[in-house]
Amino acid sequence: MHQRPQEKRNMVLRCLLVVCVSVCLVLAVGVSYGRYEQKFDPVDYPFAADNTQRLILGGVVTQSWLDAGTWPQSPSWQVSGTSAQLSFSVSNGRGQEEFVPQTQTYVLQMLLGLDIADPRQVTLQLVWEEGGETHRLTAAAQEIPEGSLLQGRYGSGWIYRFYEEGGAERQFLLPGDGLHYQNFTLEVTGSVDPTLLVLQAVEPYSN
Amino acid sequence: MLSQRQDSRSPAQSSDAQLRAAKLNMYKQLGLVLFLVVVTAVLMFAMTAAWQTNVVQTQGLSFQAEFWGFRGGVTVQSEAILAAPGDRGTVAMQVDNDGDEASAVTVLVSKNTMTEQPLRQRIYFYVDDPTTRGGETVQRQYLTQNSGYTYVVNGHNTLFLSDLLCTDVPLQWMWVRDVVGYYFQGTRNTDGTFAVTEYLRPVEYDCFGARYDANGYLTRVDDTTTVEQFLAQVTGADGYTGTYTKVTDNCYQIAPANGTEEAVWLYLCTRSEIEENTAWDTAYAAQDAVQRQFSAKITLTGQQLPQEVTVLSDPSGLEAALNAADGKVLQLQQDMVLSAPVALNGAAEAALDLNGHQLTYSGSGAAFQVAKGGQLTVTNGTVAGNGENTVFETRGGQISVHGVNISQVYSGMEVRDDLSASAAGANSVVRISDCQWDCDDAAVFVSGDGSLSAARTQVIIQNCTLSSASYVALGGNGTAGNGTGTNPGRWGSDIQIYNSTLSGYYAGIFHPMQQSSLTVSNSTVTGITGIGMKGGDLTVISSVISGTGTGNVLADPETTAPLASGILDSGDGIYVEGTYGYPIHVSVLGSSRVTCAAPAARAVRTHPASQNVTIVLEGGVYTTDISSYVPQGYTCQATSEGYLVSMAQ
Repeated sequence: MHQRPQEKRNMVLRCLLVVCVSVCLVLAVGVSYGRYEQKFDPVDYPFAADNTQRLILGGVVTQSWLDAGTWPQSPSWQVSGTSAQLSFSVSNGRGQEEFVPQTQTYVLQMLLGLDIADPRQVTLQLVWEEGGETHRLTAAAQEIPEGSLLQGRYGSGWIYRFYEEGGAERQFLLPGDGLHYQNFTLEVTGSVDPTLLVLQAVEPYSN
Repeated sequence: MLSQRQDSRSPAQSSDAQLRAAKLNMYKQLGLVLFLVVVTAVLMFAMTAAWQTNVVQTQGLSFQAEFWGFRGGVTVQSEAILAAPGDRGTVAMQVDNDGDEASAVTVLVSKNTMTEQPLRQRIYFYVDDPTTRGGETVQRQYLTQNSGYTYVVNGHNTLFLSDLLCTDVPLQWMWVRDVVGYYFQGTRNTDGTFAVTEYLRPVEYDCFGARYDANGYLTRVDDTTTVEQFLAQVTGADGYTGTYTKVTDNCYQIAPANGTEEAVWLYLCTRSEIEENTAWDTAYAAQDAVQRQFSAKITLTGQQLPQEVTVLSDPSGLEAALNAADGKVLQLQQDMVLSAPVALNGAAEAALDLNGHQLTYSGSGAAFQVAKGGQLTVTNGTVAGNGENTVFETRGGQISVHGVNISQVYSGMEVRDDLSASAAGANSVVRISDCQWDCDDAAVFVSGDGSLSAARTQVIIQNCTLSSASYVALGGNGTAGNGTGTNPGRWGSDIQIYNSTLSGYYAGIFHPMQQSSLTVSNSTVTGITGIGMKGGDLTVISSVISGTGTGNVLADPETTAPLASGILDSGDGIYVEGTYGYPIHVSVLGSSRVTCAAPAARAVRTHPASQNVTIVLEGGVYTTDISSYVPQGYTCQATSEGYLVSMAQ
C-alpha cells in the first residue's frame, strides 16, 4: 500500500521539524559550550626548602681569605683594661660560589643578662667602613620585656640595639647577586665581662 | 472528489505488496534516523571544533561561531623555588590572550598538595591590591582554593608576572617565619578541637616585641597595643563583615562560611607554640638535612570579560554618563568633539569604547581627569588635541588605555598621586597598551607621592609607540621633599615597559626619582641621550637603548658640572648623573644593545661627581668599552659588533 500524498507531506514536514529542532539544539549547545569558561589544568608550583641559616657571623674577612678561598673562623674578644673589642663580619656566604642568592636585610643586637644592674655602666659602639667613610653608632639599651619570647629564650636582662639619628633601627643590606660581607668592630667600655655579651645578626620584622 | 482506489490483486499478492511497502517504509525511517544521527554528530563535532578554531565549516555550510571564552595559553614556572622561612617572591607566570577581546583570568591556589600541615600554616599567596570586601578596605588579598584574584588581559596581549617584569599586580608567595597566628576555615568538633579545611591568611606581629601571660597567651603585641586592640585592627580590615567572637582563650570566630557548616576562625598561637613553630622552621631546612620539596596547586580560569555596553547617543553628557556608568561600557557611535575636560570622581568606575572613532579635544588641561579612587578605561579609537593640551591625568586613580592612538597634544598622560592631607596611599595605577602617542612634550609624565605612602605609583606600558617631539617620551619628577606631609617629595614609582618603542628629543626616558624602579624589556629607547638616570633602579632586559645625539647639542660630563635639574645632554646610551646622592642601580641583561653616536659619547657612563651609583652589566653589546662595569663571572670582549658581555665559561 502506498502512502497517501498527505501523509507523505506530513512525514516530510515532521522530518524537517526534527532536523530544525536538532540543528537549533546543537547550535544552542555549541554556543553554550563556547560561552563556557576555559579552565586550564591545575599546575604545580614547586618549592624546595632552602637552608634557614643565611646570615653568617664570622671573623673579619680580608682579601687574603677571599683569595685563599677559605673563610675566617669565629671572632674572639680582645680585652684591654676596661675596654674590649670584637672584630667580626656578617656575610651571605662562605665563598664566591657559595652565597645566598636572596637580598637580605639584618640588624645587629647584643644581649646581656642581669650581670649589670645599670646598663649605663656599659657603652657599646659599632664601627664599620662603608662608602669610603667610617661610621660609628652607639647602642641604646632596653630591658628585655617581661613575658616576651626573648625573656623566655635568654632570661631577664638587657638588649642593646643600634639606632640612627632619625630613630629607626640601623639596618644593613646584603645583596643576593654575589658574595657580600660587611666587617664590623664592636667596642665595649665598662665594667662587664664582654664574653657575657651575646651578639646577634637577625632579620628585622616585616610584614 | 478522489474515489477509493480499486485493488484488483489477489489476497496473496496484496499481502506481499503490503509487506514490501512496510519494509520499504521501515528502511526509509531507519535511513532518516541514521541521517539525523549523522547530521547531529557532524554538527556537534563542528561546534566542538569551533571551541578551538572559532570557525565551523562542514558540508559546504559555514558558521561563524561567536567566541565567548578565553583563547590563549598559560605558562607557570615549573622549576622549584628555593625558599626559606621569611622569604617571599613573585609567582612567575605568563598568560597569552590570542583573542581579539579582553579576557578575565582568575587565579586560585590550593595548598592541599602539601602533605605536611605546618607548611599549610606557613605558605600563602597574595596580591597587594587594595579592595573593598564586606564593607572593609582590604590592603592585601590572599588567594585560596575558593577565593581568587582576577587579571584582565587585553586582546592580543600578554600578562607577564615575574621578579624581573610585571605587567600587572604581582602575584606573590610568602613563607611566614615565626608563625604567630592564622585565619583558617573549618569546623569545631564537639570536644572543642577544630577540623581545619584550609589556612586562609596569616596573622602577623613582631613576636619579639610582644608580651605573653603566664599561660603563654598573647596579652600585648608591643609596648602599648593590647590583644583586644590588635584584634580590632586585624578583623577591621580582613574583609569579613563585623567583629569577632571569642570562643577559647586564643581562638576567635570571625565569620560563618557561605553555604556550609564551616566557619572562619582566627587562632593566636601561644608563646610555647611560637617557640615550637620556630624550631620546626629551623629543623625543616637544617643545613645538613635532605632538601625537601613541596608544591601548591595553581588553577587558572579564562573567561571573556563580562561587559554591559551602553551606546552614548549624546556626547555632551559624557561626563555625567561616565560618572554614572557603574562599571558599564559607554560606546561611541560617531566621531566626537570634546570642548571641556571630563572629570571622573573617586567613586566612578567607567569604560569608554571609542569604537574606532575619533575624539577631538579642543579644551585646555587634560581631557580626562580621574580623581583618587576613580577607575577609567578607554579603548579602541583615536584622540586628537589642539597641540597644547593633555589627554589623560590621574591623581590617585586608575587609568587603563588600550588601542588608543593620540596625536597633536602637549602630553598624553600625566600620572600624579593624590597629595591631599588624607590621601596617604592614594597612588595612581596606569596601564597603557597597544597605543601610538605622538606628543610635543612628555608622552607620559610620572609624579609620585614621595614619603606620603610606602606604595608606589605604577605605570605599565606594553606594545606601545610613544614619541615626544621636543622633550622626553617618558619623564618624571625627582623632587626629594623633606619627608613631611606638606612636602613629601614626588618619588616612589614603579614603571614597567615591555615590547614598546620610546623616542624623545632630549632623552627617550628621563628618570630622576629616588626609591623608584624602571624596567625596560624587549623595547627600543632613543633620544639625544637614550636613558638619563638621576635616581632609582634601572633594569634593561634584551632592549635597544640608543643615544643619537651628535655635534653641538652635546655636553661633556667629564668637563661639565651636573645640572641642578635635569641631565646633561651627554649623547650616551645610558647616562647616570648621580649627583643628587640618591642611590642608583643600573643593570643590563640579556641580548641588549646600548649605543651612542657621537665620538665623545659613551654607551654607559656616570658623571664623575656621581655618588651611590652601581652599574652591573651582565649581558649585551655596547659601542664603547664598558668593561669596568662588568661583574665577576662575566667577560667583556671587543668584537666587530662592539663590546660583548657574556657569562664567563
